[in-house]
Amino acid sequence: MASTSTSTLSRKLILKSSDGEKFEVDENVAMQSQTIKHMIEDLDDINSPIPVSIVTGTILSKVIEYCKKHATEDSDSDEQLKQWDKEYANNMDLNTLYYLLLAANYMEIKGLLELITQCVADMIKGKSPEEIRAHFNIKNDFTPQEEANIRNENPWAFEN
Amino acid sequence: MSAVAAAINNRSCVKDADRISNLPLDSTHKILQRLPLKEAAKTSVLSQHWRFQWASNQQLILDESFCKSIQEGRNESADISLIYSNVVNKIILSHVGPISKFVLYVPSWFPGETYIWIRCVCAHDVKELTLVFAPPLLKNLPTCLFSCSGLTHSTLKRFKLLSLPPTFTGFPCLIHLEIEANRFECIDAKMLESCISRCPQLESLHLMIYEPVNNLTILAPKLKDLLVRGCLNSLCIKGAMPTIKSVVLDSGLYHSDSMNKIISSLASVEMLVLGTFVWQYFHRYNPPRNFPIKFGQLRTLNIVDIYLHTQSQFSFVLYLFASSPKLERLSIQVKETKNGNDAQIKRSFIFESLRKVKLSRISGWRNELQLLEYILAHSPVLEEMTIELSTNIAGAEEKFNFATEAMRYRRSSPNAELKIKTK
Repeated sequence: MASTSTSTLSRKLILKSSDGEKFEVDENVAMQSQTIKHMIEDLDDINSPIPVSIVTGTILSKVIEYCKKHATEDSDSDEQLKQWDKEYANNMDLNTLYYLLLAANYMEIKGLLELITQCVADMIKGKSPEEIRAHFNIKNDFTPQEEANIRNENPWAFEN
Repeated sequence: MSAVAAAINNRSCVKDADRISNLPLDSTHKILQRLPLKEAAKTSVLSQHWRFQWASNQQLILDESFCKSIQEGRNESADISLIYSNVVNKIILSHVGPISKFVLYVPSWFPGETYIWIRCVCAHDVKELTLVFAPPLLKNLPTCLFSCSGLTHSTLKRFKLLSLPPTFTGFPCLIHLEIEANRFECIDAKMLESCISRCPQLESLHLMIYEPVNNLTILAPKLKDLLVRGCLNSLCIKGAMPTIKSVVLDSGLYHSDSMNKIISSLASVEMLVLGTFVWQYFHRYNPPRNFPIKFGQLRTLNIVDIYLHTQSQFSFVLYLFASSPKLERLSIQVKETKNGNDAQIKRSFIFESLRKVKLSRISGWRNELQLLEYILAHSPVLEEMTIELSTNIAGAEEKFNFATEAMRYRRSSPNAELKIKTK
């Protein structure tokens, strides 16, 4: 499993958020983002800040927190890492989760993307459509008749 | 990216806005893919935006728990088979766009045909297909499956395969194939061989065969990862296989010769697991005095349920160790039995690269201690030796005695750490 973590002496990179905040991180931390990995390959000057143009400083710091934890894979057992992931995701409000998901998607960080999508899926699971709408502030734009029709199309989905 | 940009621009709006409906499409699908199909289908009623999201999800998982969710809460008089068939029809017919992954578990109470569904998903250019028949159903694989030439991953369980369609030319893109057969008389070995040999890109093959008959010859020039579980008369991996990296052998082979043949085709293997069945049927096998090959690449060796008190098994693993100079990680789980004969370590060799060892279900029998002592004394770069005690060692005094004994052994590596754990 641990293949790349011990490779070369880690270089430092500077990531710049959309609102201009700069973060200095180890290369192996940043490389968990496929997007950044590809950017570095094309970069002439590794010392200039790498723009992460659609992610704000607040969100980027959370992304880095995740990447740092997952860059040192040998230090924790899988079990401990899972527990950490769970607490990490549980501490986010919906808004933050949303921007984190966008960031993970844009930066192509597979593990983080899986974590957040699972967290959102768990919020949907076991709830009635009404409860889901309330939880995520989804506005029901169907007429009662339309809604009844959709329920009739796939009645098995609405049985308990 | 425009959806993302738009979403970001909306950032300033109120805190309790509907975020989830503004996600990029692929993120929405990723969320839906983490929900059971029934839960995902429920989202169709949330709003216009969600109306067809679940139906355009590229993964259609109709697995065992999906069947249960359909069955749940119905009274006994309901025609469950008809309901199930209607539901699946509806799901497949209302699907929008390509299907990359399709999983179908056919429950034992469904006597109907599945080929129409398979034909439908094949027409959707399916890449990954899993088809599992619940016992005691024994159905032929739908013929149309053999014309899914775009398949890359396929898992087929408990089916009948006695002939191949004459038009079948192979699966040119298939990378992973997993086959489970409970009753081997339902599968013609020649057909299976012929099917495998027509998958030129096959890298990963998992065969689980639970009835002891037949000889099988595998021809797969690009194979990297092989798992064989169950009982086979003999297994032959054709040609020297320089590509094969990882092998899980958990099978009692009835022919001694066959075992030797397999072992000699594993010269390039980096990871080897020898499972329960190997040791259970080991008495049928006559290992040669000198090992036919060197496992020059073997780095990880995992031994499960070995009878360490049997001299033949004990010496076999020593042969293995002595032929694997690059072995780094070793894990041995001992089969818990009454103490048997004392085995002897007659060889002398060094574990040149061994760094991590785990011995589990250790009861403190002489042979286990012998092996432990030998490994500690002959592994100059050992970093960690973990011993998990069997529940047989229950008393505090017994545990203490074991630990004292283990600590006493000379360690040839100055950095070796000894960890003793109880379950």
